[in-house]
Amino acid sequence: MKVWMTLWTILLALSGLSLTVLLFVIGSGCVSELKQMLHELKEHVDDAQPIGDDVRSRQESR
Amino acid sequence: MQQTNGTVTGRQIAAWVPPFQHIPEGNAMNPALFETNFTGLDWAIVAIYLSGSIAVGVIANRYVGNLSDYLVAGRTLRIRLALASMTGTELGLVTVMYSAELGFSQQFASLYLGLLELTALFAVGVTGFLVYRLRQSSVMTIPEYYASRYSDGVRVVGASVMVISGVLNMGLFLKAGSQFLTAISGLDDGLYLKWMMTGLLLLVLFYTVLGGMVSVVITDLIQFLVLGSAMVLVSGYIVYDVGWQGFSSIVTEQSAYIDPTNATNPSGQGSGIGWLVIVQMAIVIFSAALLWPPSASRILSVHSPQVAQRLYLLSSVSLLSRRALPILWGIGAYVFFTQSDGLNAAFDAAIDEGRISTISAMPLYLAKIIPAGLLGLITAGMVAAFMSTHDSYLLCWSSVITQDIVAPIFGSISQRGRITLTRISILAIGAVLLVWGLWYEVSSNLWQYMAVTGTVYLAGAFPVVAGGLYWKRASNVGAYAALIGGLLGLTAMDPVIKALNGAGIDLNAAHLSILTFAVSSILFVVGSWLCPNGNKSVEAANPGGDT
Repeated sequence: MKVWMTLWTILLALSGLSLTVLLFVIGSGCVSELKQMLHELKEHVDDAQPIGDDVRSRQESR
Repeated sequence: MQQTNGTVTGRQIAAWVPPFQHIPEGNAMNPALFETNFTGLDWAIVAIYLSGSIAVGVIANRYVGNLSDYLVAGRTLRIRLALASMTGTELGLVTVMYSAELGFSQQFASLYLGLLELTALFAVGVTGFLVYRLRQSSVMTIPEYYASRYSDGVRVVGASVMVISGVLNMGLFLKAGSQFLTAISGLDDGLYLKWMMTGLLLLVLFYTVLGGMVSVVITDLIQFLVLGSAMVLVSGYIVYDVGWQGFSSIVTEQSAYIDPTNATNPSGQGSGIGWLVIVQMAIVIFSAALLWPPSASRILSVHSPQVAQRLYLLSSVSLLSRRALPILWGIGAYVFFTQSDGLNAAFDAAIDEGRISTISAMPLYLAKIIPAGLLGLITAGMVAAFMSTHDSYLLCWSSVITQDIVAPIFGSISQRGRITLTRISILAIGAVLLVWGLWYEVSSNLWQYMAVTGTVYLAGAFPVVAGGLYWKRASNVGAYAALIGGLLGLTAMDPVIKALNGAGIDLNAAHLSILTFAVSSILFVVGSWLCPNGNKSVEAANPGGDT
């Protein structure tokens, strides 16, 4: 029982710590990534690919 | 906070009262069970969050130029956004609810699920098994891979099984959300709550239909930050509330469930686990980590195969929190109710009357110990989680209907037409969910329902995708057989199990789920060996080249 409880305690502590660290990591850099994504999407919109272009034909042309 | 270095006696336990417990004790019919700290401030926090979500949908629509933008955000996701989006999608209200329910009924032993998932994701992150090649293939959905590796027919069949499994899987999301809001807000009015959940569903439909994957990614990010922060705060609060003495008392004095390999649940609160269930869950969790479509859509949305692999390595730890912390809340609820005789009796009585189920234990507990304000934050986070999972799932299943069922059957459809069709599918699935959520009753725990419905798709998809990527001989016949074989998983649903047991056949969901995986894999191998594809090239679908 001690082995199981040690394992579960470590698991719980690890999950709490990892979520805290992840919040800091993502929170610190997400805004710039979001801006970059929206910028690239805006360029897609401005370039406006012709409607009716099938997905597979686009992939084949790659 | 109560802390002790010695063993807690039964007398001490009876006298021990959690520091933040301030509700009156009552008899079995005491309405104190539904008493809550939820106030107008909390409602205001939730309302502000929902308004923000509408704004995101409207804004995101400006960034959707073509189908790729709509379905996979133009493949522009970098690691932080992808990680937030993947965690946001997987950290749904339903996940929190079923994990907490397991924590309440199976206590510490239920943490084996977190351990299994951690191991599975870490192994994939280190090896890149399947995900690396899948991202290299440049497909947008799993059925699209079926088409490029096998045939359009396999794509349509695979997509149809996927949609059946997926819509069934999210069929109880609305009900779980409803039970959470009922318990946490103290609104003990079924009709009112049904309207509220309908409203939430309409809200999700609104911004998903409008903004596609762009709005999904943005709302996932916000949800991750809001719910993630709330989870850390609430978990800290619960640890402080219950204290070391509280947790240790259920182990030493109340026969809490510790060892998952033991098939009998000593707490008497729910079903046992045992090796059979562990094997079932290991298979389901491993295959779901790779191929559950909403997760797979993140693999296919990221910038490169390297990012896809890295995403798994990093998410192995982040996704551990989504299971382990809610389980901690469930254990806290178990401690709370077992230490409060009056409330425990009222809780049991409400379950016997069919007013609530064990799934309500965690929100009822939080409603009593978390102060106003923080309760609003966690509710906003949970509502966000509810919507975030819904939007991802709705977009995923509807895009499968459009791309992989309708388009292959009816031929070329313009991009604008596909977006419209996807939007119509989103609305249709939403209608199905409302009806299903209202009438289907689950007799097992919610997680078992999720695992069983997921099996219908995963049992066929795993051999077909893995075989397609790593085995030259994999053929169309084998793929058809495996995918259709996955439908055997429907037999593991509650009504069928009851009928089988009634007919004297002593099988349970674990037996039938494992059987389904085995049958699908065998059918795939045998079908491929007996009926190979001939000389059809696999290079187009196997960019690694080294089969």
